[in-house]
Amino acid sequence: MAILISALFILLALMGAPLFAVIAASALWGFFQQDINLSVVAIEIYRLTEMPVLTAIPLFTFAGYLLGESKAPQRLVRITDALLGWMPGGLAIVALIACALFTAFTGASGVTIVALGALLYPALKKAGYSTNFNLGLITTSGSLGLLFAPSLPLILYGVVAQQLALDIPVSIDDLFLAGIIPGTLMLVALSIYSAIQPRDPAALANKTKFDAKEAIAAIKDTAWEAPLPIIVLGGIYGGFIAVSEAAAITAFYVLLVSVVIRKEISLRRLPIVMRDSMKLVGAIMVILAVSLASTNYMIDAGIPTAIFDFISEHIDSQLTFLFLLFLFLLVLGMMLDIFSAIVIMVPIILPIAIQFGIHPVHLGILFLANMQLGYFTPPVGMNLFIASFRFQRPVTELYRATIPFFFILLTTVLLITYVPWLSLVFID
Amino acid sequence: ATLKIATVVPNGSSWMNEMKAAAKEVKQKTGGRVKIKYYPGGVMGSDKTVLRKMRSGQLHGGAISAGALAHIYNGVQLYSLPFTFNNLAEVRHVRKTFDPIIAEGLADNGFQLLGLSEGGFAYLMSNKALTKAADIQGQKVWVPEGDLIGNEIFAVAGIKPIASPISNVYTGLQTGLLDTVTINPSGAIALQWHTKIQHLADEPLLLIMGMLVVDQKAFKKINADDQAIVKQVVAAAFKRLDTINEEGDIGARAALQKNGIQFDKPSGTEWREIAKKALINLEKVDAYPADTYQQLQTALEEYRKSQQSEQK
Amino acid sequence: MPKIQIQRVQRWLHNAEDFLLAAVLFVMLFLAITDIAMRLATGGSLIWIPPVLQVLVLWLGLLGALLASRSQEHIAIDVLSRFVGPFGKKICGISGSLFAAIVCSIVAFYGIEFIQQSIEYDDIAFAQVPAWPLQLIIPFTFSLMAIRFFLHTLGFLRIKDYQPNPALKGENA
Ligand code: NA
Ligand code: NA
Repeated sequence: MAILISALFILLALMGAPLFAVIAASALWGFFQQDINLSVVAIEIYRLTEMPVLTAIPLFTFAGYLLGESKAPQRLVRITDALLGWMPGGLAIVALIACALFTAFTGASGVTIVALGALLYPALKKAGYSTNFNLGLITTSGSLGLLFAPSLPLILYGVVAQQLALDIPVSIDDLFLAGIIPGTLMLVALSIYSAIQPRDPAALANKTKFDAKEAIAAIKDTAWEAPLPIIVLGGIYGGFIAVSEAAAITAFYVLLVSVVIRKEISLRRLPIVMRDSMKLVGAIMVILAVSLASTNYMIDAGIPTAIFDFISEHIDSQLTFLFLLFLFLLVLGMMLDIFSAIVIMVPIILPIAIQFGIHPVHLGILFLANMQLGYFTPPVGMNLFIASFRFQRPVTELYRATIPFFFILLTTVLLITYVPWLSLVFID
Repeated sequence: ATLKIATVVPNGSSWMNEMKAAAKEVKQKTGGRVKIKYYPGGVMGSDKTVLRKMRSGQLHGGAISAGALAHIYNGVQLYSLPFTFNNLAEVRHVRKTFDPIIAEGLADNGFQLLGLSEGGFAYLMSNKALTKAADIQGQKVWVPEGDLIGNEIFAVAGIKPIASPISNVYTGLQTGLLDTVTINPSGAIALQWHTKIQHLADEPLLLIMGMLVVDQKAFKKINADDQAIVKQVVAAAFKRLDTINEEGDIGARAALQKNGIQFDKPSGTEWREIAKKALINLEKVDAYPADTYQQLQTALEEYRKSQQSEQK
Repeated sequence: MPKIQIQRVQRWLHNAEDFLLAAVLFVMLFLAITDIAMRLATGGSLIWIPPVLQVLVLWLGLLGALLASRSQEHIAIDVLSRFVGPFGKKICGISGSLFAAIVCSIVAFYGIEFIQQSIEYDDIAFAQVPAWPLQLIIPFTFSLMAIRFFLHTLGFLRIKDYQPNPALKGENA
């Protein structure tokens, strides 16, 4: 019966039933089987109010849609072209760095794709990159930067690990330090790949040399957008605003600039931008909400623990353990949102990992690096669907577009997994 | 029967280890008739969510902070009111009388209290010495979201505290968005907040209390003999936990000192005046049982007198 | 009910939802900014703002989900329907939206039970604010989503080449 029902749900998902309905149904069915009152599903949905970090999602999404609707992408193309256009892969590299920074601040909840993707996709197109490459780059960049401070998943891992009363202490500062080299490694690998991409010669033809006059004009042109990263970064490190509040400042500032100052978005257009952006927020949040319920059913039924008990019973070497962990986390990252994955799995995995001689800080980095990959692992990595939605492309096209990026990052994740030095060099 | 019990306390903590040991003992002594299954680490959600799930029947019990039950029965706040106790000896003296009162109040509201544990005293910890009450002015003080009592005491002290979830505190201290917190020493170390503060105002602000409650309907389904075994075993575990927590906090204090954190002696009388005013305001919103608290104060005064005469 | 009237009700409902969504987003932005401004100006903050913001996130998320169901823009693994003919597409459309309608109805039904429990046991959201009015959004949005998905089911049943998302019309053909 259980197999039949699971097969039916999978079939319905493949037939195009909304993913949230499939996840909700599996939770409802699971709780029903266990004789638990189904109102727990509503209780789990209400748990969205217990995650303060979520405030950032609608606000950053709104800001991103506003920026996308305004002429900011054009200005970004102009300035990057003026400053970095002479470099091979200039704009693509800027895109990677911008996405990494953005994700570090927003915690990789699909926000990067929505907010920056809207901006970079047309810009990259104008710069002469192929559609396939653009889609792949942006989908991949959606989770890039998870390893950089002040990424919320990094902090969350630290908090969870700290409470396990381990013999080896895990401080959040150490995690911030540990993420630097692995995160940079990923950036560099993708930058090299971007630099060797072929581009449309027509787009390349007009600018090859650095033009100081144009550079100054381009900087002036972006006078209103330029303070944004300064306000946000300066605000956070200056101690004026919390990380989660950066979203509010960004949304407010962008609203002010695009509607009141630059008037690039009319008051009549504003409700439409709000509606479009909140549609995406809704599509993400409802999945998050019901996946809280399905995750909760799995916990109630002891499924993750049973899986992991089985694994740890059948292996004895650290190398095999790391490899199985890598596979397990890849699947986990594909299926679960990162915050649930940390909260649920770290308490189970960490004690076993320590028995296999793995440093808890190293585990944190490899855990998050895997989650990052899971975001765009076919067939169900969350970011694939977000990109599919945002750019109105079939998800199968995104599977194809992300393949090279997937294998590049897969290699770096394996390096991060098997070379603890990369994570631990700054830790004593 | 299986009692499903959830908590935000992490797996692997000494607290959970004791509770697991208790579950083993219960299973053994009831011949396997009563099993206790735990969901630690907050996997079932916050204390409020755990209570909701107890209502829906998914969970049978929860180990939760006293504050989470305050709106159901305000007596649970009795030991957590500001500047009530000077030391744990005082706490233990009054608990003999007042624990049963709390248990009864919870029972009237459908909760069986299985254990009540001392989570240790919370102190003001800050980036500067807070010796006079006025030193708090201009500080960026953290209070947990929706914490009426914490909010009121700082309001009386003349500042607006900053309410934020506990998960944001570390970054807040790091960026300077916050500079003053209220927490027990072992909590400060577990959450790494001690790396961001330099001073501890060495006057117990309040006692952190945790409790294990189960839904009475679920509990009544167990036969009477087994109920007695569960009560007895869990109570014994909680007694051990009080000792473990006390030792943990002593160790944590030493570790804080070793880390170079200064222990300052603040003006107790000033803070007690502030607390008194705050309590008058809080009585108006029914935040605690004023009559019972008055009895507790009387009991404390008698105890303090008897201690003084003993010393003479 | 005559068709014209149904359309009028529908239009009114759409406008009401749009308005509510915009209002929630504005309030959220306003409160978040006020919180920061207060802190910069006075060093303190209003204790109720953070929990209110968190409730607004739920509201915004579910209202957004409701909006997405209007034109079926929910995230889906739409693989099979790409390889089947018009009849297969119709079957996929009917079963997918009927399934979603049933699931949403069940969640809405138990959402009401959740609220009954909340009222019965005096559940609070924060400080001393009762939780049930804030939780109403769950059965509200899920029951309307159930209706939307049911209407899509009817659409697939009755209309040839039914495409719930007007933006995609023709692209998948
Ligand atoms: Na994931
Ligand atoms: Na995800």
